[in-house]
Order: sequence, then structure tokens, then C-alpha cells
Amino acid sequence: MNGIASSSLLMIRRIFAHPMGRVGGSIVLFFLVVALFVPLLAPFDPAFQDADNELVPPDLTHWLGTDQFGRDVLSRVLYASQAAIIVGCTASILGGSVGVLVGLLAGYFQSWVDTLAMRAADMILAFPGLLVALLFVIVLGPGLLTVSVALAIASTPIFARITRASVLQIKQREYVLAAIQFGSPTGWIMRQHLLRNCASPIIVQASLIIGISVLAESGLSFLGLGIQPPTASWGLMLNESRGFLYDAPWLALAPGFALSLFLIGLVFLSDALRDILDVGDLVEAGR
Amino acid sequence: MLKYSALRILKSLPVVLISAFVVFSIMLLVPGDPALMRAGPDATPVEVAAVRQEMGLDRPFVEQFGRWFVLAVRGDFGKSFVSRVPVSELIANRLPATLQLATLAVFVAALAGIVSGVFAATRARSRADWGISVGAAVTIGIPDFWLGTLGILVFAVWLGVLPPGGNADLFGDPLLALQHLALPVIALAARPAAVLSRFTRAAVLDVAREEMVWTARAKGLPEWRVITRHIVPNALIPILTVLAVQFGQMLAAAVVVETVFAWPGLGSLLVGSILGRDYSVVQAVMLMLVVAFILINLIADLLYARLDPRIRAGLGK
Amino acid sequence: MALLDVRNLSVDARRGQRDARIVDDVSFALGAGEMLGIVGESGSGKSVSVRAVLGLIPMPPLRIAGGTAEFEGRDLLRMSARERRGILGRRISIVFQDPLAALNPLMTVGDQIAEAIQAHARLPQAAVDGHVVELLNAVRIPNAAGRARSYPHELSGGMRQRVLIAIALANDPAVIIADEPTTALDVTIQAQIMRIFRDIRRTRGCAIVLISHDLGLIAENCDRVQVMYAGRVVETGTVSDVLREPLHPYTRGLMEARPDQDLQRAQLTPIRGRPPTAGQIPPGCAFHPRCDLYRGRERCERETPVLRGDAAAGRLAACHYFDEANRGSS
Repeated sequence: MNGIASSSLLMIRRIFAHPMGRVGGSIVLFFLVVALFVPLLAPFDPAFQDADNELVPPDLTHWLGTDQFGRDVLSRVLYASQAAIIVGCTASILGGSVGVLVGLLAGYFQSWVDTLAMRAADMILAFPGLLVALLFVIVLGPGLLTVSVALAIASTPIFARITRASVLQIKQREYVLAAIQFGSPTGWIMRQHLLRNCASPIIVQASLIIGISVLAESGLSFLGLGIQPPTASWGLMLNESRGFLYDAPWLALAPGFALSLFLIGLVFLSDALRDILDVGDLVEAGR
Repeated sequence: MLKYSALRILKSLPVVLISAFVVFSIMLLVPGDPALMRAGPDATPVEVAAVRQEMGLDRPFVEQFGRWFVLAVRGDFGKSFVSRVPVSELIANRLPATLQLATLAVFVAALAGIVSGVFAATRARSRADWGISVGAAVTIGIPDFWLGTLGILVFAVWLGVLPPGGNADLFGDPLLALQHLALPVIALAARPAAVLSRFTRAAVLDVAREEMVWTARAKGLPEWRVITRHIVPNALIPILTVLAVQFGQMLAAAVVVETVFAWPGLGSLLVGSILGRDYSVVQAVMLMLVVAFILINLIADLLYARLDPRIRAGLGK
Repeated sequence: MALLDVRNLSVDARRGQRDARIVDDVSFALGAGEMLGIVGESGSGKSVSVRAVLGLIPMPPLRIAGGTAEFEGRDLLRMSARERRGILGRRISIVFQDPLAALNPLMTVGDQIAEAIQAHARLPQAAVDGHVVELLNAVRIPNAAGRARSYPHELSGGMRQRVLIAIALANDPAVIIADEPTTALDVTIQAQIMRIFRDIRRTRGCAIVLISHDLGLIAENCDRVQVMYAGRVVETGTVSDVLREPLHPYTRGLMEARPDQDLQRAQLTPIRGRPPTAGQIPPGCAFHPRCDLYRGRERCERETPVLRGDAAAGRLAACHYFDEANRGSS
């Protein structure tokens, strides 16, 4: 455990030494802090409807104004970072664990399971993630949990494919062949050699998936098919602002800028990770 | 080339069938009974049973799928649950708008992405390269529907120079139609263009390191010819993969962007139908989108073979 | 009067914050119709020095740090890119080592040869096509007209190398630079390719620079040889002189490390140690850590030896003590 802690600390240090990583890392860190401490930071209850103060333009009390129900926009924008981070992390951690496991097994055993898993992955990957997520949301119904699960499912095949490709490559290395030959336990080989050596592309992919998932969530929420009111989400806020573009543009501007800033931070961060971990810049298939 | 094309087309047929099956299965999985919805809230159980029989919902699932698929291939998607209009008619009304938007957007994205990527690569590590790289990274972080909303705010609400939404007849009044297209196309094309620009830069730099580029220079060719005849065509093959993926992404993104601009295309039809639980329309539009993705991938693969004699010879592995 | 006269050429490579010299003070002259061999291990700067003369190196990270390269009375290193393009492929051509990497996989070989012709001449398509077939015949590719429509991946390694030679020949150049043209090929094909080079020289009278790590190949084909080590020329002379009586201990080492039936030796003696990498070249004589004549002498460690010997005969070596070795061996 100590090893993991110290290597993550080293990783963070290297991210902040990288010019793009410094910008991206700071932005992402900022949103993480906001999401964690939002009850302390937000000036108002994000769900509190102040009927006397509807559509108030930004002023000293409501820094970013209020919406059509008199809710404080700043508080809602801050609270929405929670939803974004929950969706992003669920998609990349859940999709990542399942995908990596499938890819590891498929790459290591290379039997009909492999063929089947990869065919299924290809099948899902033939379609844009947003549409796959949309399909699942139609079936599962909208909401924070279902959107997170849908995006995790959509990202699973990406992790599976990347892991499998790395495993196939590493499996050919002499020390792994030797370990197999000497009858080392399979689980040990997988943990010790394979998983450890395909960590870099997986980490980069995970950082990309967070961004892709947050983007997809905001898109779904914008359509009214994602996170449901009264939970705060940037996409949902943008959706709700559509009727008020002429009278209350701050309703669109605030969540839009917050969402873009977070996504730009993630792009910079994954670019930096790609550099630091030396994962080729041609891997970006741009899903 | 002919044999390759035939094989490639044959290979995509099962994908169409499986995707169609998945799309059709939504019907069964969604909450709520379609027969109940069709019959209306006041229907008696007998009436609902009649509707169920009429819709074929009492038959085995595979048989239902078979009937639906065969009819769909012929262009018959049944009637909308909600408006009772034939689905094919709804689609026919909406398809042209989406096609205009998507083709124009993919063209703009390809042009902007490839040109800026090649430009950045030929001036690698210069100030212009740096500017393009940062610009692309930032653009990738901006969601299309937010860019669209921002566009409406700036150009329609504040400056009043472009319409905030809707479309116009491209052939009746091209100028007005282009004004309507401008913002949606930019919103839709920006992200793919940025992805493409970054990828193009990397791909061009990759090819530029190859020895054949020096052979070309050693012939005494001017640098622009080395770039256009040797570097870019060789970089174009991987770029084409990304372009195909981005085109697919764009069709999915169009669902959102059409909603932003109240663009009367398939995307807004899909969203409206999902919200209105009009599942026969949802199925039909989903199937159209799925077939479109498969077609895009097919065309990309055929283009590869056109560009790369090695793939032509290998008959696609 | 030399056709191509390179003097004091130096090339730097940017490594991190500082420059490392990878070609240091290299001079060579090529007479019309002459065949010059440049030999050295990989990393000795033999290929970079010649490519630098033609501007065929990536700049940056490389940079020409000094020198001149006169060709037909003009300095190749100081002319505009446009002027140099007028000479490249027309008066001076180059044949690269790996013919698969050096050909564009997306163009037919005929088109690639035609491109070389059309870079310098406006000709009707039929004339170009005819010329392409002639060139393919000249490099002894059977069924030339049919082969012109082939793509590189459809040809064997030897055939591809012939195509590269045909490209080089396209405008009947005065100089062909052959940069390890046979390294990627097996021995029988190697002999065929070298025969083509000898033919070209005989029938067209063009001068050839053969760059190789194989001293035997150079001995069989060239008039003069130039030995390079760690970016510097360490010995130069006619092939017969150098082979009969190598002056520099490195050249001597190269000869002893070469499998050669004529010498009837039972075993090969490899040069001990490894060649230095650029940026880590030992001070003084770069070869001293591997040298038999060094024997701990301070001069070898401190002072870089300059080429000396019989300048009029072009018989030079850069070693402080090569006289000792000669005395020892004769």
C-alpha cells in the first residue's frame, strides 16, 4: 500500500512538473476540492427556491444570479461538479475494472472467450459512445445512477481492447515466457507482470474516459435524458436555461463555462499523462 | 479491388443484423407496455388485447423481430404510437435536414482539421504550431451543445446577425439556408476538427521521419510537392480511420446539436420520440443511425483499399 | 580538379541543451568517374557527412557547423534550397540503404521513377514512360514495362534496390551516392547490385561514393577509400595502398576483423571495446581507449591527431604514432 501511495505521489509531482499537466492538474484538482467541500463553499442551498428572487441578474448576494425558480446559480454550478465527478469516476473505475479484467483474461487465455469478447467489443465500439449510452438510458431510465452505469458499460470495451493489446505484447517478452515455463501461478503472473506493465495505457485511457463520460452525461442531461431535477448538473442547467437566453443569459453562461473549464482541464491532464507515461500520441482514436 | 469490396460488404451484413436485433430489443426492455400506450389510458383489457394482437406482440419475440426487420428493409417502420403517422413519412421529412447538416459539418471538420494539422506539422515546434495545439486541446474540451448555445447568445441574441435556430430550404433560398446552417455546422464540426487536427499533426510528423521522404527530396522536388505527394497521402490512411470515427461521433452529436438549434432533423425527432415514449419511431431512427455508422465504416474501409495498394492486395487480411 | 570537393565539414546534433559534434572536420574529394569508398562503423558519421553535403539531414536537430562543399564551382552548403534542388536528382543522386523504407508504398515504382525525371525536365508523358522503361532495363529489371506498374511491396528486396538505383540514374547524374546500398540485402543479391553500380560507372562515367561498413565491399569496388571513426576521417588513400599497408590502428583493426580468405588466417580478431556514441567521444584521439598503440601515452589522451602523410599522393592518416606500427609490422 505504501508503494502505491508513494508512486501516486511521484506521479502527481511529475504531472505538476509538466507545463500542460500543471494547468490541467490545477483545474481538475480545483473541481475535486469543490466537489468535496461544496457544502462549505456554496453560499446557498442549491435546491432552495426563493419565489421573491426569480431570474435575478448577478449581484453581490447572488454572484451568478438566480434561475427561474429563484435558486442560486453559483451554488448549483458548484454542486453540479459533484454529479460530473461521480459520473466520470464511476464510468472510468467501473468500466475500467470490468474492461481490464475482460481484456486481461481474453489476452492471456486467447481461447474462444477472447474471440467472443473482442467481437462484442468491436460491435459496441462500432458505435459512438453517446449513442450506446443513450440506448442504455432508454432502457434503464434517466438518473445519476443509470447514466453512470450506462457510461461505464459504454467504456468497458475500450478498456478491454487496450488491455488485451498490451497483454498480447507483454506476453511475448522473455521474462513472462520464462515465468510461464517455470510454472508460476497464473494469477501471480497476471498481477506481477501483465497488469503492472499495461498500467500506462490504462491510466491514460481512464483519464480520457472521465472527460468523455462527463461530456456524454452533460449531453444526455441537456436532452433531459440524463440527470433529473432537482439534482444539479451542468448539462441540465444548460437545458433549463434554453427558454431564458434573451432575458437571463447568465443561466447558460455559468454552467457552460464551468463544464468547459472542467473538460479542458481533463484534456490537458490526459495530454500530460500521455507525455509522462510515454504512450504514443497515435493512440487517440478519438471516441 | 472488386473482390475486396464484395468481401467487405458481405462482412458488414451480420453487423447490421445484430445491431438491428439489439435496437429492436429495446422495445421489449423499456418500461411500459406498448400495446397499452397505443390503446390509450381508457381502453378496456379486451381492447388492449386486440391492439396487442394487431401489433403482433403476442407472437414469439424472434418472429416479431423477423417481421419488423423484413418490413424495415422495405422501408416500412409501422406507425408512430403517438401521432399515428407512418414512421417512414416522419423520417423522410426529417432526413434531408440532418443530411445537410452532417455532410457540411464533416466537410468543414475534415478540411479545417487536416489543413491545420498539416500546417502545424510542417512548422513543428514553432509558435504557430504551439497555438494550433493549445487551440485544439481547448476546443476538444468545449461541448458542442455549449458552443452552440454560446453561438446563439453571441450571434443571435446579442449581435442579431444569425438566426437562433430552425432551418430554411437549401434549394429555395440558399443564402438564408446557409445562415441557418452556419452555427449548427460550427458547433458540430469544432470538436471533430480539433481531434483531427491533433491526429493529423502526429501522423504527418510520423511519416515525415520516414526514409521515403528523403528519397523524394533527393529527387530535387520542391518541399510542397514532397508534402502533397508523399507525406500527406501516406498520413491520410490513418487519418481516414479517425475521420470515419469522428463522422460517426458527429451523427451522435447531431442528436444533441439539433436540439440546441431546433433543427428539424432526425436527431431532434429521436429525442422527442424518446421523451414521448414513441418507441416505433425511436427504433426506426436508431436503426437508421446504426446503419449510417456501418455505412461510414464500410466507405472508410473501401477508401483505404483505394488509397493503399497493400490493403488491396491483402484482401483486408 | 575534383568534381565534388568537401572541405572541413562539421555537423552538430542538438542533444538536450547542448550540441554534440557528430561530424568533425571531414574533407574528401571526388574526381569525375571515380569511385570512392567511405568506411566506418555505424555512428561513425560516414552517412551523415555525405547526406549533410546534399542537405538531406533533418535540420534541426542537426546543424551544419562549418565547411564547404564545392560542386562544379559552387558551394552546396551555401546555396539556396532552390538552387540545391536544381542539382539534387539531376547532377547528384543518392541511393538509400533500406529500399522498402525509401520507396513510397502508395505509388507504382514507374511513377516514382517518372517523378524523378519530371522534377527536372518537362517531357511529354510518352517520352517519360519510355525513359522509365529504359531505366528499368538499365538496372536489369526483367519485364520492365510490366514492372513499372508494380507497387514496392510487390517486388523483392533486390528489385526494390534496383528501382532506387533507377531513380538515382533518372537524369544521368555526374555523382551517385550509394549509402549502404547492399546492407539490407543478402550476399548473392549484394553481388548483383554491386555489378550494376560498376556497370553504371563504366557505361555512364559517373562518379560514385560508396558508403559501407564493409571494408571488403569497398576493396572490391572502389579506387580510393576513406576510413571514418567517431565523426572524423582517420585514414585515406588508394584502396591498394590502404589494404597493403594500413597506417591507422583502427584501419588495421577493421582489416583483421574481416573474414578474408586471401589472408588465410584461422581466426578473426575483433577490435576490442565499442565505438563511442556522439556526445561521449573521448578527448584527444577518439580511438585511444581501444587502440593497441596507446599504451597509456598522454599525447593520445590530450591531443587530437590531424591527418598527415603524403598529401600529394593523398595518403594520409590521423595517428600520432602510426610510424611505430609500420615499423613493427614490416
